[in-house]
Amino acid sequence: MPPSAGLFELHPSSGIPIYRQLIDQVRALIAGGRLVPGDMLPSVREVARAAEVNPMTVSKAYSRLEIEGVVERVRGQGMRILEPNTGGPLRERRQEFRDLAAPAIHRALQLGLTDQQIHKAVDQLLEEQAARHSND
Amino acid sequence: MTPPVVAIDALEKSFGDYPTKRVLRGVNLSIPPGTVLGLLGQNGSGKSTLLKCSLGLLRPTAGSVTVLGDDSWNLSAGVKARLGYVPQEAVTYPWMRVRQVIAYTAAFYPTWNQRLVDELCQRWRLPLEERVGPLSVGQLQSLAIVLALGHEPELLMLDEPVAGLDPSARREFLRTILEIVDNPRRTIMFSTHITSDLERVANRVAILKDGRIAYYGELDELKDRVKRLRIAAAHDLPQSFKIPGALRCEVAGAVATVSVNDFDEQLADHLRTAWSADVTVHDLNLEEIFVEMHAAGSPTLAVTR
Amino acid sequence: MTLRQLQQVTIHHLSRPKPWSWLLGAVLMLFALYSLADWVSNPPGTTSLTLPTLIFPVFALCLFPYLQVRQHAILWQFDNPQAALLPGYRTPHLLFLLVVAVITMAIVPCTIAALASISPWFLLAVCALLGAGLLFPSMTGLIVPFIILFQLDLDAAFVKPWMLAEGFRLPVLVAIAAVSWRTIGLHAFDASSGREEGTRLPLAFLKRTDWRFGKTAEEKQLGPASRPHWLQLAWNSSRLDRQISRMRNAGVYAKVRTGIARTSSNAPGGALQLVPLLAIGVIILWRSEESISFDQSNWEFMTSTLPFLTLAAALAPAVSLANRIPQMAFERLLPMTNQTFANALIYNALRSSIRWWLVAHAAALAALKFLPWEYLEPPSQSTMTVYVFISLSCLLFGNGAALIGALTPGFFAAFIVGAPSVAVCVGLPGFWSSLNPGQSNMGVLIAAAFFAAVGVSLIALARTNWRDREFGNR
Repeated sequence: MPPSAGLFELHPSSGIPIYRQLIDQVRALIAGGRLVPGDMLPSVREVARAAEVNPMTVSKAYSRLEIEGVVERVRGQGMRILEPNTGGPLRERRQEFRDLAAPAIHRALQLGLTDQQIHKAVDQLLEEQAARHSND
Repeated sequence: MTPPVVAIDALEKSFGDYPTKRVLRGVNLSIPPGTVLGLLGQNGSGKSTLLKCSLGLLRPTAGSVTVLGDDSWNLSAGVKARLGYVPQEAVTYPWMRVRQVIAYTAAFYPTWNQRLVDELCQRWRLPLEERVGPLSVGQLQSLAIVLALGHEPELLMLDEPVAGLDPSARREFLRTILEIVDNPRRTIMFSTHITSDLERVANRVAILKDGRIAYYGELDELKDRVKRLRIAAAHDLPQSFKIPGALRCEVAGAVATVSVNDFDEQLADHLRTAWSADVTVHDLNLEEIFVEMHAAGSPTLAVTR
Repeated sequence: MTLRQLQQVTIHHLSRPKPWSWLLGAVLMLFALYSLADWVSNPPGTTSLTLPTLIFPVFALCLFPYLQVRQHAILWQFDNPQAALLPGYRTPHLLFLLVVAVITMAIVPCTIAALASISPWFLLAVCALLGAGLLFPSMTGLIVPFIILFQLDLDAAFVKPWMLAEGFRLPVLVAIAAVSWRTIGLHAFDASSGREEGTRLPLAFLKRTDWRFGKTAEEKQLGPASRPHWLQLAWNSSRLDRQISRMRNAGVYAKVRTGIARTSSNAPGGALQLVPLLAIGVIILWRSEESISFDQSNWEFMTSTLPFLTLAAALAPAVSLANRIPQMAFERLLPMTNQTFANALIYNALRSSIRWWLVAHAAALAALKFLPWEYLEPPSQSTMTVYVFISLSCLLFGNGAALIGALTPGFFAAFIVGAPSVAVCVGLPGFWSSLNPGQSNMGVLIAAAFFAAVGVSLIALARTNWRDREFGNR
């Protein structure tokens, strides 16, 4: 079953541009496993109609996702989720992760967690992820 | 590169002989096909004047407006047939029945999509057999919109089209507009005060301020550019604390709240190191951006291409 | 232009139910009046279709429909931004207007002339000249053509014999008709250029429209009423405004918009407009009625020309009052009782009305003084007294009726109020003039007293009704 257009929750009056909200949500859905490689994104028109936003904004987000290698355009069918990009130099990929993790660790320290507790939490997250993958 | 649908060049418009009131003081805009342009500005900033100049209802004091290739003051019938306009105060013939008004308007257009009109009338529950006079403001507005859409214009100009509509009718109207823009050849210019509508529908925004365009460009880019920074420094900040190009700057002790119009990460990094401060970046929605831009003493943003 | 467009344009014009029924009613009523007057004033069996008596029905039949359609076309089409954007909207409307103009101002007069077996040129010229004259922004536009044409036709003493010769009259009439038709045509084309501003033709002095919807962009930007209606100049609401400004100064109502005080301080400006009319009226009488005895001429002046001044003085303040209604919704919220507010309105209207009456009569006196009247005897004191009594009675009655009528603005109310006011203000002096000199004035004086009493009670009624009027629904 193709993912429904109601998949996304867009807030036009937010300070974050709509196209960016859409990109972030696609990424989050992939990260959370709700969208898997091979899935088709709902069509531009469907998303625009469901969220009542300008279709051009939606197609702009889709084009960005295509450029970033998250999805690919399939002629006559729409946008398909690609395998996660594991290419590229390790150094860059590691750096990207560090950028994502740094604020989270900063926040964890503010919450008064010890290094050990943070390590443990990360390990747990990794285990959960592995369990979910094996279920699929 | 396709030629712009509307090209406004150094447009000036003044009213009155003495004293002259300069409403538009040199407006430049170039609107490519497929644009949905939201026109924002304070009351009396000249949004209606700009639209009316573009439609040839007002004669420019200086400068020119080219609409679909024609000079706006001398629009040919052919160009008029490709135009749709919904004025701020919808004026239709009160003694005629809704059906008669539609038939009357239809007679003038070489192409008229009666199916679309019937559908819109049904959707907006327009009473076809009733006279126009006793219709409510919202119904009148809806009728004006139907009349402007019947010939499926390439260029649609709307002057505060939703002002008289209730929230549900406004939503209905926005949905219709979104259906129209599904065709990439359609161009829409509309002025409004309701920024949330604009954020849904428009992909570009032009902000009129002091008779000039204070910003013209992509709505997304505007939101990416204008941010509010909260700078919490280790020590008290001097009262002279300033960031070049800031729209607004408030300093209270060690905390400064600054709205900048050209945000990038380097600026935040620079502030972090220079003042050993904790910098948080807040996104601003269009309404907040509009208010910041019209705060006393705020500079005019650079106009993007 | 397609046939379908023409059909739709015709439907558009003919579907207006009100103006057309009004038109029919007005034409029928005027015809009835005319026939009645004709029947009364002429012994049975004699034909009375002389040129001057034909003017009235011809005016009703010809100009009224044309003016209605023209006004309508300008208001709803040529001066309406939305209409102007319909591609090719102009031609069918212009054509329709032209057809109506030709029917009403050419075919009908020619038919009437044929029925009365007279030359059509005079009627043609009258219609065309009036049609063109009504385009001018002031009443002078109507008066001047009237004078020219009547001088050409009336057997007045000053008209030289060669002026009455067919060889002179015909070319002049044809020329007048041609120039008038050209003006009418140019105006129609100009008016239909369909912009909020800008005139292509050297006709800028002609008014495009009497009244328009909404504000023009210019008015919106420059604030309220940049150009007041000439009747408004007569309305001096200084008392009300003073009261308001006093309160403002006292800080009671500090945030009152300053715009409320916007009324004209140049009330005499309005009265000044009457002076040329007066002078013209005087000249007409002086020129054309030299045969009448001089005292008679003076009397005639008092019973035929001056009553119109009284009528104008009675109606003008009420018209301004009606124009002020939108502001009143706001003004009545000012900290004063509704009764005080109504009193101020009525007091102002009456004061303004009397001021007008005085100014107009002073102007008339001045005209009498400065024009070569050396051989005119001043009217007797008793004649003057009767005149003043009648005139002030008419003023009271007209004021009462107009103040009631102004409560409900609109064509209908204006008609209902206007008709009796005209009847009384013009009819009573007419009744007076019909008396033989030396006959007792008792009947006239009793009638005047009666109308004065009715006027006073109408004013009292108007006062309570203005106090209790609803605002905000218009």
